[in-house]
Amino acid sequence: MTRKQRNFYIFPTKNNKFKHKSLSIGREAEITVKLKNNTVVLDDTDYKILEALQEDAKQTYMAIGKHLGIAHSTVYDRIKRMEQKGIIKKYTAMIDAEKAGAKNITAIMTIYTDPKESERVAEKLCEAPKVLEVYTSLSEELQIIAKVVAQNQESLHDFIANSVAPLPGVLRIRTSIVTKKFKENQFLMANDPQKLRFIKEIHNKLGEDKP
Amino acid sequence: MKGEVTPKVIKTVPREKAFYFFTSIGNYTGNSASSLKEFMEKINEVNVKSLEFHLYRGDFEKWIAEVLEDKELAEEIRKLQKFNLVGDTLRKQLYTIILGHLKYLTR
Repeated sequence: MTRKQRNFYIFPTKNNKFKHKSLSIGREAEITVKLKNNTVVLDDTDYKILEALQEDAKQTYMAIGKHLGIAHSTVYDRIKRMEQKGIIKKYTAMIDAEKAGAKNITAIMTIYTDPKESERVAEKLCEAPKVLEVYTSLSEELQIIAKVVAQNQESLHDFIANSVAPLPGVLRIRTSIVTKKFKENQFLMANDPQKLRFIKEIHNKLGEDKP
Repeated sequence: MKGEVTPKVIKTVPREKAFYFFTSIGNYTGNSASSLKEFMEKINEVNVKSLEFHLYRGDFEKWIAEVLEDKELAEEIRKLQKFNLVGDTLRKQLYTIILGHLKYLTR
């Protein structure tokens, strides 16, 4: 990953919630991805285009087409379709904040909540600009896990004390401040084992040698 | 003054203005207080680490002065910092100061 590589996101999400209900193999090598109130059908070429864009979103339709052995107009049409359907959410730049001079600290909050209020707590967290990611998790208790950035420890504490702890349903909070980042990446289509298994099955069906 | 009460001290503040007890940066214990009486009760219940954390950051005096608007009690608590108290000794001192102040206000 280069320092300022363009990056893009897939699948539309509203408040980080998306329903990825089915991933089924069709006869024409298609995967049906059912999104909330929407249905999109992707085939192997679409996935390859997505992979190519995740590698480098700045490359031209011509370059992607050449790499995949398809016409650049096909690449254009498919990218436009995936943009319209919200599969490609946006194109953005991945910036190394530290090198760019930002002195922010990152922390991971684990928020234990009353199950009846957890959805509302998660939604409120999503509204805060300091909160970058929000997840719910079920272990022994219902938890919300959130990644948060702040200028310093004092600002982090103020945010949690004034904006998170007072939310109805918050039972307690554990916060870990990140001291060193070893890896940060987005989900890559190429690393999706379910998708790779799907492609392998398709190729087996077609009797090809290589997955 | 006899029989009179200070409304800001006696009243219950809304939850967004309550005091939330933490043991360290970002680690909320689940205990909060919306009035001075409740605050005093929580002093006896919370992990003593929380009392040490807040006292030496000046959080107690700030909340009492700014939210409860009781400068006198805030000053008494601020002075406590000089003694470097920790553990149950700190808990007892805090409790005694607040109890005494509440009695004074409601005498």
